[in-house]
Amino acid sequence: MKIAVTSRGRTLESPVDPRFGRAEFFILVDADSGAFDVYDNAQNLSAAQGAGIQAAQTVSRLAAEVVITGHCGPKAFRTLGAAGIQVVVGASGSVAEAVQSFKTGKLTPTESPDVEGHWA
Amino acid sequence: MSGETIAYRPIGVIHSEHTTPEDTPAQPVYAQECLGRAEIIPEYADGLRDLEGFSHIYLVYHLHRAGPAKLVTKPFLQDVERGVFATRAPCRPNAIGLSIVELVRREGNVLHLKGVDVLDGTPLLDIKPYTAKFDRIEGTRNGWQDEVDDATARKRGQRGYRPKDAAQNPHARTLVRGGKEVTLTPGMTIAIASGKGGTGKTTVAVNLALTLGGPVRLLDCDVEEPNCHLFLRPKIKNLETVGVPVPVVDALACDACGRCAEICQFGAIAALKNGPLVFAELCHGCGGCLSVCPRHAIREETRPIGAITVGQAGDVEIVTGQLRVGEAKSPPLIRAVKKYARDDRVNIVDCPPGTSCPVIAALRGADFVILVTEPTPFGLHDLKLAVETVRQFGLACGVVINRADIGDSRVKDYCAAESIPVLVEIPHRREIAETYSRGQVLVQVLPEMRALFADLGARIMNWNKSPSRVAP
Repeated sequence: MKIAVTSRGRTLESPVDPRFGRAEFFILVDADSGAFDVYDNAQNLSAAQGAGIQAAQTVSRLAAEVVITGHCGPKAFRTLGAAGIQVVVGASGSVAEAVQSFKTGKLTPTESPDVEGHWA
Repeated sequence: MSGETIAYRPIGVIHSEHTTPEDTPAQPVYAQECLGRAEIIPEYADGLRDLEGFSHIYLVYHLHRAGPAKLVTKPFLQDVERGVFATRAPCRPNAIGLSIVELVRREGNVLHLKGVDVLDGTPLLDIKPYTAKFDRIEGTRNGWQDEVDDATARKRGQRGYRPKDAAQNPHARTLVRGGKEVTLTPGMTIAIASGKGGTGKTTVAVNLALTLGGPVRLLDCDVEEPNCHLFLRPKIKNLETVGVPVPVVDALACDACGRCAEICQFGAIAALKNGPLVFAELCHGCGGCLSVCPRHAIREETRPIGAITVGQAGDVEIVTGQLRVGEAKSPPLIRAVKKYARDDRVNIVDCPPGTSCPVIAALRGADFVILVTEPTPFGLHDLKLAVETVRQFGLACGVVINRADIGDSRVKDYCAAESIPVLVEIPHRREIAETYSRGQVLVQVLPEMRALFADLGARIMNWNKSPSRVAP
């Protein structure tokens, strides 16, 4: 199973980025092997609008099945849902810790967005 | 002969709206609406006698901004190299230009021209009358030009030239194009704007509408908070719902190719592996997704964004746009309100505050802009922004100073320095505020306000006679 975690840096020790659409990086972790890849989200950081939707498309293209992040707004949530991706919010600490919390059931997928949209 | 230099002195200068070569039409036929004038040096003025008897004249001029000469060049109309003498390209060994233009009228040594495809400031070498007797030739061979179809020729011949916005309004024609004889005539549009909110736009719009006399159409384009109707209490005659087109995807026809999401510059479509997801609230209704969908799986539906009511209050017909609560984009509704402008009466547009897209949509096509401000640092700061916006459109404007006896003189100093007329000053008085807060109209309650707004109306009608106006 592939898990996309929003990250402030390029390693598993980097802190989880609380933002989804405007996360600095996505770290795609293979939950079974522990291998990971880093994807820069810089182009979305300066998007005027629709960053969450774009980010959701990115993780969908990466074939992630789960997104772990701090917060997720309504448009990103809708897009991730349409792509069949589970959304876990409220993660903190390092990327590795967030993945571990999810694997041990401390973090579970949310049924709804946890913040308002920043736009509209 | 060879090597001999022939020197000419210009007989005058050609003035036009064209200031950059790339945006100047290539030929008079592609510049039919472009006005301009030729100013002849007074010592040659006698030579213009009897010229006004001709409808069209030849202008022979020096292409003063032509690049270096090239014997083979691509003409404006075609991407094929041709001998320069088989084209009218400016890069000629002798950079001489030739245009046949319409002579609208002569005023002394100034010729008013139409169909001007010449850069502003071009030195004029000679003038000759065009005459059908000498010059009209039937059955010509047109060389390589026959390879270019009319539509392509028109498009390429216009080059970067686009008529200025206000110029598209037939009633603004003389105003924008350098004429001076504009008066407040039916069909004219006066926009009331301000950078800063709460300066008194609605007060000015309502009171001016009631003062001008005769039928007036008041277009309330402040669609997020329209309030002209609160003062006029119109009888509502008509209601229209306004919507914007949004794409709807037929999931059965869609093969999830993602091209719709790719072309959408507003991120309103997400491409997912099982098909696109549309975010209608981000859509600008451009229709790009429809045109690129290879399977024609996208159609447009109308999403309502607001409503327009038309009401009558005495001589004032009031058209009010009301944006749906929560809607982010108002310009489509503002444009719909402005379609109610009429050619047979004066139109007054109450603009939203600020200088962004909604204001641009409201200002477009106005003949004169009243900028309402107050003599405070905030008022001045935002007035400057508003003036910059109005100047982008090349519109004439004047300033109304509200609460004129507070603050300081910096607004007036600024207007003087920028040659912007201060039309009237509304004093800061308790009874004005009280009248307003009761929802009453100043000109119906306070006689001195009636006089003040009559003065404002007269000044707008005569704005062209004032030496100061905002240059485009």
